[in-house]
Amino acid sequence: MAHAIKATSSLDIEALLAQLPIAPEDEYIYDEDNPEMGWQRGKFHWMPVGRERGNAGRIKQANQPVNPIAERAINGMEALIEMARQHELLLRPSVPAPSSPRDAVQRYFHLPPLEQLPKLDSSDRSKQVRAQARELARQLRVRLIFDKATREFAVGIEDDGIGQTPLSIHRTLLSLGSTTKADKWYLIGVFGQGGSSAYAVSKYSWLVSRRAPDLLNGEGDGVGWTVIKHVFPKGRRDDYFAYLAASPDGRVPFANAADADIAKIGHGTRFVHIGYDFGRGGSAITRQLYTALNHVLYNPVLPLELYVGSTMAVVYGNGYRLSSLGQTRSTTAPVLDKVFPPQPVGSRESQ
Amino acid sequence: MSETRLDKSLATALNGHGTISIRVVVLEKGMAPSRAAGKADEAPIDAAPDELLPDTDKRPTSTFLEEPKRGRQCCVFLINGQRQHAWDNQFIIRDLELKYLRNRMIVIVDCDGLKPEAIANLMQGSRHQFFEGNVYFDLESRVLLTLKGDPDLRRLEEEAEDDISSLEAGDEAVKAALDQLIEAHHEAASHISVGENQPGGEKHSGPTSGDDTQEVVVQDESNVGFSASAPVLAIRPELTTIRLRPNDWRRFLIYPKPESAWKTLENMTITFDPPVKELQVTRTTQLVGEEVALKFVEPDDFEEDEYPIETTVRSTAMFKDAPEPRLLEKRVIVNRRKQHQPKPPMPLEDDPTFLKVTSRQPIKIVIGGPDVHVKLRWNGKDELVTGDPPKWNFRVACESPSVEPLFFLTRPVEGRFELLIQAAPGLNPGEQIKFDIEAIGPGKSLPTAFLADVAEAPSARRISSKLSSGAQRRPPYDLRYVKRENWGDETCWGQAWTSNDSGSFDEPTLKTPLTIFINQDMDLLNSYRDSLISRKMAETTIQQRINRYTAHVAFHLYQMYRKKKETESAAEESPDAPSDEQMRDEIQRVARTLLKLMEVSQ
Repeated sequence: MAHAIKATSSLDIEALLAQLPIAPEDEYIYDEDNPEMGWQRGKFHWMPVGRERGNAGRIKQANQPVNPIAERAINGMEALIEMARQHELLLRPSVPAPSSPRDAVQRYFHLPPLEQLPKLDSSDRSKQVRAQARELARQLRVRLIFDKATREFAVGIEDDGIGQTPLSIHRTLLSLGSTTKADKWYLIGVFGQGGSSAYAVSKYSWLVSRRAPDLLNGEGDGVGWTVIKHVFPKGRRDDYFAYLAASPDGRVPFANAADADIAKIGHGTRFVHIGYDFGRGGSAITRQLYTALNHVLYNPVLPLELYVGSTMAVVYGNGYRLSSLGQTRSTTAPVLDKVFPPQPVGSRESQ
Repeated sequence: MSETRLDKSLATALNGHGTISIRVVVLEKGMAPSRAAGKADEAPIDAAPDELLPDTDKRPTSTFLEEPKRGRQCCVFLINGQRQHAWDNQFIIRDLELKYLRNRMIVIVDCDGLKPEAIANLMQGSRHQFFEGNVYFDLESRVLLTLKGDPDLRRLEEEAEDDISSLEAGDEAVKAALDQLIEAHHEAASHISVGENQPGGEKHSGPTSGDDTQEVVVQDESNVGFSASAPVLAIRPELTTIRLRPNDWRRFLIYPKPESAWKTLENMTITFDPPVKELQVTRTTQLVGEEVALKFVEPDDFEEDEYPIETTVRSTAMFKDAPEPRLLEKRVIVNRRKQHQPKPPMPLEDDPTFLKVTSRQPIKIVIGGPDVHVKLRWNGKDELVTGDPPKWNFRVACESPSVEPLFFLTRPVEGRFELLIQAAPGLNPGEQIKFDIEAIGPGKSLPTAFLADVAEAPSARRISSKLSSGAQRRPPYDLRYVKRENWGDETCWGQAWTSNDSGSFDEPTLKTPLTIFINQDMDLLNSYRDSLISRKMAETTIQQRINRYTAHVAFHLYQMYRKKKETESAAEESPDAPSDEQMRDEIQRVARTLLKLMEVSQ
């Protein structure tokens, strides 16, 4: 695991995999009715993500390189909201859940929609709100890393949210089509598929996750980790995406809490997608990612930090950036910034 | 009778798909980074110190778009703040008809107010775009209808058109083109002059060729733009849109073609539809037509919200032996001065004293048309109605003989707000709907009211354009631009400038080089600009064509000077040397020919 959390290139990952006892991918054909069939004791095995052999159709969903990054960032925001909600339930179990993600952010983090931040006045209260937003951004980080040796990009998405226990990662972070969010209106996604599309645009991915220590619900503390790759089985057309599993029930490898502490892994989840395919834009992405993320996450419920090499910027979304125009001497206010009241959608007949 | 209160519109939508919120932002022209090649490290002016910058172009929206080229994704649809669907700026050009705002405008549609089943209908597993089914259709309609009639957007579009109408020749571009012409046609230059009929040589090309252009101009000149049998009414200068500034006179001549038909005029009427009460009109009979002068007299208490004001001037004439009336229609736009002094902000009170409608009246609701935006103003502080709880409320009541349209109030910003009225189907043409608006506060109420006329959607109309003054840029070292207001400062071939003159030159002296003058307020040139704008040509295209014209006229003047010097050096007092009058006629002819050719070549 200590090796894994430093890997940012294909060479790194392949060197790591070469050291591990892994059953060759063609020697284990996953059968959901009998996953133990062909399982070799003492070895890790490549298991289909979502434990679904035909998962490629669900994972190959991205049409633009930046979308999976945004989806992963959304997952990180949800992890922060969910942690706040679970902390709330520890204190007041009967409190109703927030009605929407924005409601949750208002309740737990006291933030309005981010596009309203620049319009706040100069009172101490407003300054406090802006400082709170800035502080929250530190808990969600996107990193763009370029490996000069392999000329590959890696994208890391890290959150300091609720995290998952090692025993539940395969049922949550690595699930497809099943959900634990169905009755949680305060979360954003439902099926968790958006972030999975990042597997399809990367040569390898790896993840580590550690549950918030006060939200273990009786499970042991520790860090679950795994590597995800694209598998092309010999003689077959059904390519799929697989992760490194430690047991036939799908559980991932893990390290105990002491090792996690030594490696300085706190609660939260970290995904790194290696060999990320940004298309023909090539290195231009180092300049474009900020704009692209601000565009896709136009008015996100929470801000995040974006690191490109050694440079960092906070992504508040384009809504915030547009509202900021004219707030400083170096910018010009828009000639028009108009918000219409809520407009009903649907013809009068249909109403 | 129905009522609505400020921001209570959610309740009205419970039976539909839910609600959306729309934000539209128009950026200042030229606000964006203007980054020259090789200066990629320069930051856009709106960049924060720690901002990571994209590759950008000169479009104001470029640093806000994921794909700035072609203005992609400048209209975004958000769910939980995440972009789930987007339109490119063709939506602005084609649907909203705001072509000149296409690179400055961003539209954000927040769909969080839609019902879960509506969102489920829109959202696809791929998250790439919405499913274009029934919900999408209704969503699209609502966005278009809300924005299409917005008076602020219309005003900005008109201002942008104004800017283009005064597009100036770009010095550097003109000089570059002129240099190229001089270099490329050095040999040919001496063959082109008044009365010459020699071949220009293989290198010669372009519209300055005497033989070619002369034939086209003669053939085209009497027919371009007019297809009816004579006589027809025409306007001089050839305007397609008459643009007025407050308190400025604007004059034009309405005359018959052929002019001789003026003698057979029986009567001529001039009307405005709709009437504009502040418009002063004077009519003066001339030898071959009638000069009409228009002036919009802005009252002291005039509300700027009423701009732009649009009407149509319609002139109808009857001529002897011509059974049908002759008709001339021109669009008239009155807009505020671009660099006007803003009125001091209205003081807002804790105890407001008035509420009024500031939109131009009569208000017209077009059946099946876009939403009507009625501007309102009061002198209460915004927080009186936006506080929690609000101390004041607005109430709107509507009396309609048939269907009651849906209507919504926006939140006041500095005392100004809008009533949006949806032109619902079921209204009947000719109906009049009364709207009563009341601000209700502690122990007090402030009422106002207006009538809205229901009209049918207009049929297809001729779209027109505008005229405005020409312009001048920074003075070049040997190329000068002359505007109407400068006609008295310089002479044209030793005489006063007129609107027929295209240019002239002053011979070099010991202290000054050859100076070429280009008249930027030549009538035909202004008309040409108008025609380009009426066709909604892109700004860069218009600029290029004006540059091309300017370079060629300048080139011809340069050649005329050379020819004159050659002739003079060949024989003192040569009878072949052209006189100033001849050169004046010649360059006028060249400019006319060039403009006609450019029109025809489009």
